[in-house]
Amino acid sequence: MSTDDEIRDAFHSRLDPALSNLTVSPSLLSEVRRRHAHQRRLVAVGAPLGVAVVTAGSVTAAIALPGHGGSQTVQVGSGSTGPTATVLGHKLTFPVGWTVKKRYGMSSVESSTMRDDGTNTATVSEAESIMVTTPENRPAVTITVVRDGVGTAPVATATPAPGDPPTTISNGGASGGGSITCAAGKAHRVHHGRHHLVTSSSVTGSSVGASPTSPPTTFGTGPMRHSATCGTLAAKPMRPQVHYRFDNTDDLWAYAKGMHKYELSDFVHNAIDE
Amino acid sequence: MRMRRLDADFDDFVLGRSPALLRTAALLVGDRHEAEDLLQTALLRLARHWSRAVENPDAYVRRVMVNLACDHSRRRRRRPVQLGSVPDVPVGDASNDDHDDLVQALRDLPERQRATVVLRFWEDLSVAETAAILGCTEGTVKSTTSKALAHLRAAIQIPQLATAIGADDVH
Repeated sequence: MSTDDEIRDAFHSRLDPALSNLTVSPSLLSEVRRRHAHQRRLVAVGAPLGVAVVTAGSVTAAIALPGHGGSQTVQVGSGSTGPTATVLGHKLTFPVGWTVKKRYGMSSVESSTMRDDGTNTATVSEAESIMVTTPENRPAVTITVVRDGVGTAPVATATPAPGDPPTTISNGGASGGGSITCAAGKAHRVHHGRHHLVTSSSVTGSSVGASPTSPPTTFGTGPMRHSATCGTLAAKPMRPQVHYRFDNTDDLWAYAKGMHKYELSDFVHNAIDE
Repeated sequence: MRMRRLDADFDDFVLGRSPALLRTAALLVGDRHEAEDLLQTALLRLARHWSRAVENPDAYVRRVMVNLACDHSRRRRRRPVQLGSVPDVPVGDASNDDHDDLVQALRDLPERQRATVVLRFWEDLSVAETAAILGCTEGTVKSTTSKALAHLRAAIQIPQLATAIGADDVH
């Protein structure tokens, strides 16, 4: 027997009895498992993503569909532990001293599907967004909740104009006014789980109106979710983003300035956990 | 499907390994309540990074616990004594002096030395595995082990351990 083995035997012969009465509290185990069950839905998305900005102009141009356009209202209030916001029915609670501001609530056309009769239908989504600012009044976290598939709308397909950039993803118009946004420029896809992440690194095209349907970076399951509103957008590097899926399949997206992605993950986790 | 598998794996790990990890935590911090806090914190961190740590969750939890225990010791040294605070609940059976000797001697070691001997001789890890968890070289593990054992030898009178510790070369 080696010296190490003798020491190990000595340790265990002395310490095993001393520690034999230590048992793990059931509440500790249940708490850990509960938190893990909650955590599993929180996916921290890597920071090095190009994040496009949803512009104010595009918000006002969002397609309004009867019964959906902006029908949901972000409720902002204050609770005993800090400010609260109800976003698409999901209550979020934030630390004391932080401020919640409503950004927008809207409905939008997400993607289109070609029917047998040659017409297209577009899936309508709802989105609501809030901005959470620090006690120093510094914009910190933007949170958007998206609910997909609240309806469909007919869409007329348009042929890309001759001058459009060759990498245009989609370009069309919606019946009833307005138009579907496009994401032009050099785009690339990154596979992330079951999602397709589409980022647009340099958007140079333009469109008639726009519908910012998704949070700044789009993780779409469909083939043509746009990644950004059209206009001049510069790629925004290194902005952490977090995706959370609620039980009812609503998606929450959060991105932040000046926060590490794990800080952001904790921040969102705690807001929902409350 | 993969997510469900990961969840089941996590539950299995927590249920199966928590008792042993709690004992390791108790030796690292020397207090029952703090050991439970340490384990819970480590397991919550493991939960957050389970998909990455699933290959070797034991190593991940040990590393977190060692780091937290060292941080805890440093904070404790800086913290002023509060009158009327809840007393620590030392690990060990007060009815057995031999056990208490070794537990107390471990508590008195500097945190890195304590962590090193706990990993080497309680967790039965190799020098290389211990070095990986502590984030140091194998040579550092060996020298730290020698110092720790020398302290223990001076602090306790357990023939079996003292004899074993008496060897100069710790492999």
